[in-house]
Amino acid sequence: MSETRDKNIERIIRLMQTDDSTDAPLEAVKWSKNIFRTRKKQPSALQRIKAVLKIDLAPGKAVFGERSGAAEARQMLFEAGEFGIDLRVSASEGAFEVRGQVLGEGFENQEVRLGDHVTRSNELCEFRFNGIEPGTYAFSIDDGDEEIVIEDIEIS
Amino acid sequence: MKPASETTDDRFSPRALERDDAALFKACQKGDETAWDDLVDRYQRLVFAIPRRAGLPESEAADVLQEVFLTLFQKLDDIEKPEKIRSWLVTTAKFKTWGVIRSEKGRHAPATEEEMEHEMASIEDENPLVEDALVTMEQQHLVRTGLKKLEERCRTILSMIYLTEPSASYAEVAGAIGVGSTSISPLRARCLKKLEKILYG
Repeated sequence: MSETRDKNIERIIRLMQTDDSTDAPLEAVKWSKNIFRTRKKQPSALQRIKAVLKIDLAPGKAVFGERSGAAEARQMLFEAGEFGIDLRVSASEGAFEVRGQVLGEGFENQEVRLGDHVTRSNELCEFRFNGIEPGTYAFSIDDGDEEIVIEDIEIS
Repeated sequence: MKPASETTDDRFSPRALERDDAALFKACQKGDETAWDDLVDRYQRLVFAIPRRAGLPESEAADVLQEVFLTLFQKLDDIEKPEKIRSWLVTTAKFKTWGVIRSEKGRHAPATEEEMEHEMASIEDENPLVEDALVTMEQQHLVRTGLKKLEERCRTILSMIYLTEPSASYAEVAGAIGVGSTSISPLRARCLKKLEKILYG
């Protein structure tokens, strides 16, 4: 086992030492990246689901049915067709942290937008935005087939 | 420096990196611009290396690179096996390179991949794009990609020792990462083991 590993490592070293490849000219790389900007989005294929606010709990208020543990964050639950969006907003270092989760499958590792802020959901459909200034934001996440949209979320 | 000759028998094909490629490619198919930028960054060096290895000057190799990514962009929605994107890019770069070489010789570009493979096989040993050389370039690409998965300290140690010419001394590496020279040898060994794990699973 150790002998195989040593052999593998020797191969890796040999490959690194003989690697004389160079980066492509910057202009060619830039051009290759820019062609993607011409791609037209296909809104017709994308089903837009507008989320509706179902629960909005201010910080310090216990969730209905819970005996203790008042929440430190504002908690909001939105309903979007067969999906739910759980959003929690808490004050953090002079701004706000917005974290949440899409309840339902299919939105793993997707781009999530809050106004101009962009992040990615993880494998559990969880996401987090830091340094959000007070204001009204549009939230969206899409998986290429469906887009969930929350039009106005007031962060204050 | 010429690439070490590798055979198809001892090549590695790390599943984790293939899954990574597939996720990136699927994100591109969904219109994610950042993912496309990452894909171009990840593969530009490998794609560019193929026409360069075949002897094309930098400007023509850059044209091949652009054509390859343009073709990928045009076929974005038709590619059914995102995990095989590396093979697709290598084959396409090979194909475009041969097109340029043939047209320079006043001959028609190969119309199909089969025609190109047939022609490549009929060329003598000087052929710069023989399978072994391509395998080596792909493997070197995977090592570079694997290296990027390591933490910064390991990346610095291995890059300074193995990817720079002349190779950095242990004292120079120690200075760069802020440790004593005697720590470099065991750190280097640990980093190599981590890289081996990524590449061989």
